[in-house]
Amino acid sequence: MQILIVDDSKAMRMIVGRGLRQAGYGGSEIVEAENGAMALEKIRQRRPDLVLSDWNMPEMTGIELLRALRAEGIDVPFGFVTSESTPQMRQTAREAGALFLIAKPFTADDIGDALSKAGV
Amino acid sequence: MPIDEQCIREIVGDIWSSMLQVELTHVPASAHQPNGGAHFSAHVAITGEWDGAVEVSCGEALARAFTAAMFGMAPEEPGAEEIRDAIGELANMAGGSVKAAIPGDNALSLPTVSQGVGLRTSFPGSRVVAEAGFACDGGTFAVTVVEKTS
Repeated sequence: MQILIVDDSKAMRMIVGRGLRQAGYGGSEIVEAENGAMALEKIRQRRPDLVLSDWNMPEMTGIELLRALRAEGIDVPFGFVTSESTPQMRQTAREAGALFLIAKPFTADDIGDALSKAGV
Repeated sequence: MPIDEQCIREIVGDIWSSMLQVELTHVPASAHQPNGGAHFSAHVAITGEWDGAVEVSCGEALARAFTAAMFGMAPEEPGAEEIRDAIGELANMAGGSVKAAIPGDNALSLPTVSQGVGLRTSFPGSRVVAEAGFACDGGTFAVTVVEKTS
């Protein structure tokens, strides 16, 4: 399984990766992107099995990335890992096609639960 | 949830515990002072129906320790770039949690990180809504919420 982690913070990309390993996804190939624009290019090229994306990023936000993917017909499973966790943001995420939104701060169990419920 | 010292304590405690596995003790916010040493400050702005900012402020040694914890590095390994990244992300998480506690439609900015010797930040046209001080191995740090008044 190939998982793309998108976050402008390298520290957070490492923490998400660590959380995935602790949640039992250690056998997955982890790919990283530091903003939505770079992620869009990597998704077009590599077609990952799952995208975990921050919301607020320079160049292209996570919600802009998700909308761009769906506009191109790319149905990659997509979830947010973000400090933006209000009910309104969650609804916006759902409406755009996100399977889940994990709020920061999070634990490895939060990651595992979200992916499990999403059927990933 | 009102934005007060207790609110900040809960938010920060949750973040530092789950993301850094660091347990904190509470100290007066005034206990944390730059004291002429190297210092880092990161803040995020919240704008919309409420305008303000959330700042995380700490000395270099503690910033380096937090960064090492986030990156999984040895304590002496993090460089300035990693520290700015980590402190910015801590401010981002604190800001996101404060934003979630504030009613209304608001947006969160990307973090702004500053570093310097004896660094002190101010937010003109704003007032301090709440602040809290924390201590752990390595020193003290403070988290402050300000609201724009003009």
